[in-house]
Amino acid sequence: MSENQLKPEPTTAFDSIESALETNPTYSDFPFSWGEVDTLFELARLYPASYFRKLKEIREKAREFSDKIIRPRAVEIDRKVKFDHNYFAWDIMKEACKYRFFSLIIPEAFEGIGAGVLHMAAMAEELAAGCAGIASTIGVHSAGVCCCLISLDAYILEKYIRPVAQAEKRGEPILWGGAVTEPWAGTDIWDEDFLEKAKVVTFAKKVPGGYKLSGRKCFISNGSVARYFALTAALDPKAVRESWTGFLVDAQSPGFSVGRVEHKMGQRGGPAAELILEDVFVPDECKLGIDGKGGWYISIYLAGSRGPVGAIGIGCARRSLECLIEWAKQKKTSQGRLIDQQAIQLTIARMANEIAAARGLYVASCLAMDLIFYEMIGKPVNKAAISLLPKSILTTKPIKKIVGSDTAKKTADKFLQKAVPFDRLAHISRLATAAKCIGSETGVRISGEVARIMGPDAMDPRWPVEKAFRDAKLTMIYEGTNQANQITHFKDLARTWRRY
Amino acid sequence: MEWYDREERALFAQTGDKFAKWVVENNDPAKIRERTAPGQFNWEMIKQGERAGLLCAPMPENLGGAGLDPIGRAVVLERIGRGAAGAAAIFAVHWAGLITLACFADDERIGKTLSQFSEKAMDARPWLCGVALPAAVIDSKDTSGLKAEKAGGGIVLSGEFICPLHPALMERALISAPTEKEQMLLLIPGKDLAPFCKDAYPGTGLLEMPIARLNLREFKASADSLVASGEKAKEAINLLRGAIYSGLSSAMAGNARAAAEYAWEYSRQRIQTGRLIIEHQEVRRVLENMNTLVEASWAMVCSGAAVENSEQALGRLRRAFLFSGTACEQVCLDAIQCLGGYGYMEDYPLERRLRDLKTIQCLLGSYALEWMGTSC
Repeated sequence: MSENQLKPEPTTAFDSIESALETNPTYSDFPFSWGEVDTLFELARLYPASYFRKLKEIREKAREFSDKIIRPRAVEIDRKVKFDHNYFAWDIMKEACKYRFFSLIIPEAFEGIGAGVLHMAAMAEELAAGCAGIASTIGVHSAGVCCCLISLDAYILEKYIRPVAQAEKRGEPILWGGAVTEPWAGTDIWDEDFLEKAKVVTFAKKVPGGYKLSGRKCFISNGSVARYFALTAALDPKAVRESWTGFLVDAQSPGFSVGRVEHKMGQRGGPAAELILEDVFVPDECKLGIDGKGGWYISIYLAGSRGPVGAIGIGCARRSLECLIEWAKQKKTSQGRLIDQQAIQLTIARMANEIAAARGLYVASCLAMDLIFYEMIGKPVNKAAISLLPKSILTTKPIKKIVGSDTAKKTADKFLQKAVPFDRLAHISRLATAAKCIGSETGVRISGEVARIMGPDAMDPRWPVEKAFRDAKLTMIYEGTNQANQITHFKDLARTWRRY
Repeated sequence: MEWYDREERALFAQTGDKFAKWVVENNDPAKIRERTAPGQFNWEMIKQGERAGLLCAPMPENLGGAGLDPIGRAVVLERIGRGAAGAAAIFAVHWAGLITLACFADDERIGKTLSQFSEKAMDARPWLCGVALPAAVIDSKDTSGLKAEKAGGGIVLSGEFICPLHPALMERALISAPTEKEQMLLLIPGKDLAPFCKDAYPGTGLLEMPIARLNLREFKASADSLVASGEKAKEAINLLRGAIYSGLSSAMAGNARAAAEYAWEYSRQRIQTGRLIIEHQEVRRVLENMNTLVEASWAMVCSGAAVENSEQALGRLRRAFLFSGTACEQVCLDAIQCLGGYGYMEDYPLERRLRDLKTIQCLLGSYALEWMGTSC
């Protein structure tokens, strides 16, 4: 064997996580015990009954919306978009306003529903059981809003978030999106540790009163239909990781344009597009958080958004299973109804098992994430403080100046660091990646298997299993591919070794 | 050992490659976004196949064919499948029909029809043979797809089923039709069936191949259409089924091989986290696994094809079809995953390969329940 052959191969990502190995270089004490459920026990004690009451209400509303509005049109929309990529079901979005899905995550003090990540995930599952594309559109909107909530910026909440809830009441959807992925940087841009090696092309330049953003973002969900984007850009091309920063960008700003709308295999109800930024001016007050903290904010955002992505996968699986049951009831063989046969009964039971297990994971991850939001803005004292603050003050010039200042943003950042300590974020992140990977894989596996069982009928518009299969595959890719998620999961394991 | 070690197989493999290249180069992406309607069917593709000597290749030489053996057929279809699974599926169906009919070449009527297939191959619109196996949607005794009844000197057919090639495109269709007492194999002119097309099959894959959903309501087939009944029909249907299993499995294996090759190539070019993604161990593992699955599928198809004329053929080919379908689906899913977001977009060829594969799985009925038709 030559010397060259003996040389070990580079080990994927782990050479960039020395910090994890410093914490426990011997890889001892893997926390495969009660770490995850500990958080749940804590939550069960903390949450008020209204949290769970609200969850039930939202699930029921979402199910009604899915059954009445989405399901009858899901296949038609999929087909329409196949031939006209600019088609978007605005009418369904307007209907969604009546159900108040767009203000789901907005705090009550800003005229929203004040729901949590779990509520968002439950909604996503129900909507995905109708059409994963529409679930993705509404889910991505909530995720975009969530990015602004993380920044804890009262001015942004008042100026940009409250109008979303107000417009929704008038039946006018104002959509949001999140823009991170770039043409040459996909998987590595979602992880703070890989940022320094990512080929980033979106940069922000400091100018008087704000920043000028230039570059490109690709595969951006809601890209062609959203009004606002929570977007990331590097301030220094030579130090991307250290200068990775979040911005709030208005799609109507000069220099902002939408490039091609992607031709996707599935989830066609939710458009994905390329964003082109050519010296787009973003005022100082629209910077999300402080300079160089973009990667950390993304970590928090992903800890919240990956659970709902798993829920979309489960929605696809659930729809497929529902179709299988209906179909098997109608299908007759020489031995009688198919549903009466052992092979099908056990298959259905196994699929239901998988769905239940995957759902348990996303519920656990979202519950854990909600604790952070609850501690930040959900406590009665904090809620009262926010609601007592006169609305008009927040958008006045002096407040705008104070809130937009670096000192105010640093204070908010410190508060966030306290609310999301390293250990807790690692645990939630682990749960979230598990929920996303298992949820999406369950979606693809079950919908694929149901399609194989149903054969030609899987393409029948009455049983859109083939569509569910195509839709489910995307959940394995967006919000970081499942492989990238698993790298994150290992890092979080490595960084949080301790027994419970 | 390569399965095409015989000289003629190697030659046919090269022909398959050339034909697949032609199909890929002449596929208009805008046109194939929707399954081509029968009126816009790409007859030039079939003509090109004929020019390459493929159209009637499996027919015996005395009937105007080239006598291509089962492994040779599998090799050619695998090569075409690497280019376009839809084109491979058309040839798989057409060839399966011809091979089955060739068993009845002693019958003057069938012999004449077969000769016409080779004579008409040079026409502007060559003859294509279609196949439908509605009787075996769930199991061989299942009559939920199609029921046949002998009445008034003819055969009355009723039922709804998928026809892999649109009847408007095929000159003759071989259809298996069960009565309460026995199996029958019928040869019906495509133009007689065309008015009964309920709608185009809405599947999103195999765009080169228009597929139809037929809804026969007391369709009267003449007594002449009966090719065989009873035990003879059963044997012929088994042969037909085996040939379709073999053809479609080869198309799937070729389709998956091309997906795997694309993913390997992409992984050698795409950089993530500062290095080529092929240098990531996980990507290497997935790529190696893809190759294993493709090779395993191909070996199963060839081992089935090698015994195609024996008693054990149907079982082997069924297993090959089931295994290669599931394995190749995994290969396509993994290949898309290697490309990430790009794999999911229509600009790259992988998402279409997955759609094609999913549609091939559905062509013969309940793919995952195929085993139900086998005896204990």
